[in-house]
Amino acid sequence: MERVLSRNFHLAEPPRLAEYRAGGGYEGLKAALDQRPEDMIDLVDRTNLRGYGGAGFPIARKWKSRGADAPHPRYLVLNVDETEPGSFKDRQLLYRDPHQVIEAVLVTGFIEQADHAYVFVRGEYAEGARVLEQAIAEAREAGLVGRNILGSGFDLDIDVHLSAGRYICGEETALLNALEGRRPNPRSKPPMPFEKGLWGAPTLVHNIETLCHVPHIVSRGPEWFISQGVNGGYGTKLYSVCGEVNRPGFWELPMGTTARELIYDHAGGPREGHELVAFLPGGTSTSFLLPEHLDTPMQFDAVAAAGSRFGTCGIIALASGTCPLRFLIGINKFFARESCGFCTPCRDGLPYVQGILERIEGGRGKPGDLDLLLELCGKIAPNAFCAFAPGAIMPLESGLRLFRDEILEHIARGACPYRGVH
Amino acid sequence: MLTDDERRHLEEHVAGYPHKRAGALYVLQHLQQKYGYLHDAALAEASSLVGLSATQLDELITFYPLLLRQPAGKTVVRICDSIACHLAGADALLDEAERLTGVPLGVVSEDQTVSVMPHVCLGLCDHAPAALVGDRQALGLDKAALAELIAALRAEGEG
Amino acid sequence: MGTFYLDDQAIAFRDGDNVLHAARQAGIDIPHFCYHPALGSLGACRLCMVELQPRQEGERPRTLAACMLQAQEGMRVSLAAPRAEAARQGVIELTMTNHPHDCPVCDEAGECHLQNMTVAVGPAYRRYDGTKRTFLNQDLGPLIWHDMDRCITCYRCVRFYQDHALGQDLGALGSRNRVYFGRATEGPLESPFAGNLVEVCPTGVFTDKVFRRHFSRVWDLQTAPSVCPHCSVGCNTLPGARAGTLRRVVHRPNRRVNEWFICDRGRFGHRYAESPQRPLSARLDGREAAAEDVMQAIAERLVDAKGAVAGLGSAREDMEGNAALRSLMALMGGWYSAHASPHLEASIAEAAAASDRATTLADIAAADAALVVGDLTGHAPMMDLALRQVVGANRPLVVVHSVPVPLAGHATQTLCLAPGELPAALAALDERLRNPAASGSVDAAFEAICATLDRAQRPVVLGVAETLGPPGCRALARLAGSAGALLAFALPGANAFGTALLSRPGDGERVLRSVETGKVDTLIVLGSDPFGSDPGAGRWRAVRERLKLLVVLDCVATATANQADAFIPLSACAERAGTFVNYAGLAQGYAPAYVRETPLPDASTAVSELGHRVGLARVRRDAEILAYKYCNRPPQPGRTGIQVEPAAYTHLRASAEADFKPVSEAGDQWQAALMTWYGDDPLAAFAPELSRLAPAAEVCIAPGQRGDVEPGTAVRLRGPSGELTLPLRHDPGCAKGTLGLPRTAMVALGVVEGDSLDWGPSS
Repeated sequence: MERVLSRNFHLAEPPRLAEYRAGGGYEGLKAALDQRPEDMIDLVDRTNLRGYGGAGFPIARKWKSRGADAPHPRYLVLNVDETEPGSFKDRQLLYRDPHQVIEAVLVTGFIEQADHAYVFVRGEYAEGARVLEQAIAEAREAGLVGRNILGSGFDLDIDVHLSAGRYICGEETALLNALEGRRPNPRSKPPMPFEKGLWGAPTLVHNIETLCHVPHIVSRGPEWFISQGVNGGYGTKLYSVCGEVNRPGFWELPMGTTARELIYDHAGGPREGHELVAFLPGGTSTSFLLPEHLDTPMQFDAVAAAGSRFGTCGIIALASGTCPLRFLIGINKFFARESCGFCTPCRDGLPYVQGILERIEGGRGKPGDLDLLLELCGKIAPNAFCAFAPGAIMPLESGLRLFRDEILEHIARGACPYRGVH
Repeated sequence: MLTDDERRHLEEHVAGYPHKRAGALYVLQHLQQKYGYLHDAALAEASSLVGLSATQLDELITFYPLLLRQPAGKTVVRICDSIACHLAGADALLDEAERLTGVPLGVVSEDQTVSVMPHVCLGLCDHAPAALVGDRQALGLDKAALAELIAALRAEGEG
Repeated sequence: MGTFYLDDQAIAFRDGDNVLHAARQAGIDIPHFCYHPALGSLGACRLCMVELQPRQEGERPRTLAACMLQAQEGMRVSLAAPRAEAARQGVIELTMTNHPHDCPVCDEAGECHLQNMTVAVGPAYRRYDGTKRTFLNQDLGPLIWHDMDRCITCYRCVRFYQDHALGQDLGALGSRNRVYFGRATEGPLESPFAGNLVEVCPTGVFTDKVFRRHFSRVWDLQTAPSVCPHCSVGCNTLPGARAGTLRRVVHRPNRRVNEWFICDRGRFGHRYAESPQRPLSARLDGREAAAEDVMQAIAERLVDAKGAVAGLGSAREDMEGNAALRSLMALMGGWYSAHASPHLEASIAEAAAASDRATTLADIAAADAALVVGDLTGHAPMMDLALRQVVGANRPLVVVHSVPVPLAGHATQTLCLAPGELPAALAALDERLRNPAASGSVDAAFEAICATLDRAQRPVVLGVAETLGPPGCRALARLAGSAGALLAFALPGANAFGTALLSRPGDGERVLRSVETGKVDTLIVLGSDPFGSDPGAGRWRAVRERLKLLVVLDCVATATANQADAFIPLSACAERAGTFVNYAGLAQGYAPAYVRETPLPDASTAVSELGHRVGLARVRRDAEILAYKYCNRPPQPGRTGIQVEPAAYTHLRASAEADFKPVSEAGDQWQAALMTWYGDDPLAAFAPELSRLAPAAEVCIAPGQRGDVEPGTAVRLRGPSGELTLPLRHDPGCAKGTLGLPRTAMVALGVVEGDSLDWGPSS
């Protein structure tokens, strides 16, 4: 298999412009500038390229929803606020091949006929933002960014916005508020960002990994892209595995590679001397899958059919010997702390859950606690304002059901049965 | 106080947005870089640049963990405690950090050299447990490595 | 327009309505916290969950927030569905995890929206056994008490404070379950409308600090529909009293005036009624005496005066009192006026004569462009709040001012002119509007203003009568006509429009001149302060010695009251029934909320009683006819008011004409201009808590003019009635050649807006 997104990752330093161009860089941009945006939308539509930021929305459908006659100014926003625990693929693209990111923004910007692009980078990736800014300066110097790009008459400037932390900033409407200098609470939808986004103008927000595929599709065609995948998946994917495995890491592989290959062949299997108990397939905001699901191809539809979500496809493995309640506490701690505080179910519900989980772990569980937790799950997820709380409840609720016996044992013993085991 | 050059640079940046308040974060980050944290005088400078009141700036600052309204140590160590690092012993590291600095998490060490605080996933899950030391990465930490790190920061800070 | 169904009940809606709003219009209150009729939907509290029934087979019902769900034709929604009810109970349970259980001792008890919702929705019992989140509270100044532990994070406070009232010093700080509504640093809230936090907060986070110090359980409060006496807007209020003392004032909705809010002058100014300085005893020749004896003594002396008497009413006194005084004077052969200043009387007449379009606050808020002349914040705060809605909707606001005014900070265009330049400037704008071909004849700033007004479909023009003076009021009214704009003037006094109706051309000048010429040596003053703080006090002070008898009836201890030969204390507004006619000619009645332990008479009763004692029993009946002549019948308290028809005040035009004096050329002399603030009102001046927020007395000029001195230097000012030393402040919001002065200084110097003044370093 050809490495597409990670073709320059072997370099010790991110490639400078000349080096990037020598490897075929900015050919996708040239190819794009020779085509009509609507034709390219059709091309991408045929690949069914979906968003890799977690929600999995088909990118061509976003373009069509906004429409070719949307008013100007139009904004393109690249979302590099990767904060989903267990996901670290976007970081690689930002830090290791910034010109690829710029090219992806330019091609997409041309397709969208955007007037301005913002790259929203999480504050913890400040170093990556600097790398990208240097590359933008280099590209601007070479006539690739700014006015009349490569003599095409197309103008697009790219600004980098360095954020300052908070998971919620990755939620696209919260991100727009953050860019505008407002508190990053999510906005109500409708209106959708493609109707009224940044400063009320039509805005499309994309994940960085998704966008990096676009120049390749445009220059090499949808058939080529589709042929890169396996098991019903199209293209390649930056997969990653972390948690209790021997060799956590990331790999560009055909979309549709099975969980077994990822966890066992690439990540070296569960940590020495232990069995795989369960895994979260797509970052923390997804439901658990079990060893029986290991042969599931890791692509959107197959993961959904197995009862979870593809999400960002950052796999997190749980091995035997680790208290699953502790695992849930680790996940929910994140969500309770990252809640933006806007809506009641999320703001007050997740800390309530956390208190009960910690109480059970501390040996002070009560007989009705598990039922109470499940009841709270049912009150938090469906009633919250944005997708944050449903994402928080997915691993929690599935974990509570999956590890029911272990949790009841905590309550019955008044202690963690795993203490001293590992 | 901002120098004339700094002020001009920030004014130009702010003018690049359709609305001035969009430049708030950039200005605040610049001021924090300069002063170490965002004191009232820094807020007054930011206010004059982006047209938001001190309270409106505080609405932003208090939302973002990387913006500091209180003095922090010379170096801020942010130890990730999200799932991969949690599984790899982040809690024990945070306990150890309290022991090493002699102050609770989030509080500046007495010698003003370091503050340690828990932080969300740093996207370094393949090197858990990980931390940000200033804006550098620290990978695969254990207690010994943390002790060494904090000792080095204290020596560097005092020197 | 359309119909949807809420649990099978048909609900009509207008396009764009959400389900919660439409149901409210139909009288069904879907439980909610963050939704507020004036602030709209937010979708944060999630209490208003309803079930949306599927439209097609195969779809599942969904629970959704009613406030975010746009009503659609034929839509079927259920409030009673078990899933929706469970969702609402879930929200209540979660909301109450952190809310303290201090309800029995909470200030909000009895009017707590959170408690109402908790009882209505359930669950009634809690099972949360974790710790409750706690916060440190802030000192937010003398008016508002802060208790953040009670917060349920509905964001109503910041949405009111920042989005509706455009305040900048209260915000949402922090995040997750530690969102904190407060200021960057402790200190008094700066907004003139901060007191509304007390009412928009659905629980006890922001409570009335003044009420708190004189607390009563709210169900023990005696209330009655009242009208605010503190400015000409005439906001509807609900005073609450207990044990014969006034405890607090809250807003009372009236769509023709204030639907949801009042300003802080209106909310906290009532403390004049409980001020320790408030005169509660009658006095005769410097000694306290029984009211009856004082009345009798006055009556006897009035009989002796034999027609050498004049009556001075007040624009802050009600129709009934002023009508009684005028009737008494008519029968005794004396002059009556309600205005100590003939200049101000002419301004009011000029402004009222032009105010025949009954412009409401809602009209102002809905304008698509606004032109304002003067400091509305200081003269009619709620007009300012209405204008802030224009600003909030990103529509143009042009502010013309002589001194720094709060609205200038929100304006899309400002024009800074000396007071004496205003009439000519307005006339030039008017000329250009009438004659578009003349574009180019005025400078760019004027051209931009005209373009703004030309473009607008629903422009509104607002002015401060006291600032404009008669020529300025006339010019502004013409301009509004040319612009096709709605027009409203902020008038000096809650009943200024009413007293203008009761006045005859030139009355003010006649009263004053009759004293100056010695024809009159007996003066009855009702609610005015001609020897103290009233505009025009300069001329009055000069003739004080000529009066043999000064009779004062008032509810506050003005300088005039303090030097009265005979003084009758009157009831405060909330203690009596009466009628005010507001800036737009709306006559509104108000009722007494309570009776003091020792009841005091209202103005008309006291004056009628005097009449009775001098043998003129007709006064009472004459006054009744006169008081309601312009609105045909007494307006009922608690109703929306009666609009005075323009046909009823054609005589105002003549009044204005009689007193009209063209503006005098100021040349290159320094001009005085009034610098006011939102608490500046003769009654509210006696409210101690509000007064603590008054700005320091200073003289204010734009920097860099001739004769300039360092800011902070004491400077000496010389006016026709006296001299004064004040520290100097620089502010670019002052027009060139303009000296901004507080009201006390204007009065002491004996100048009105635009008068020339000398000043220099005090040494």
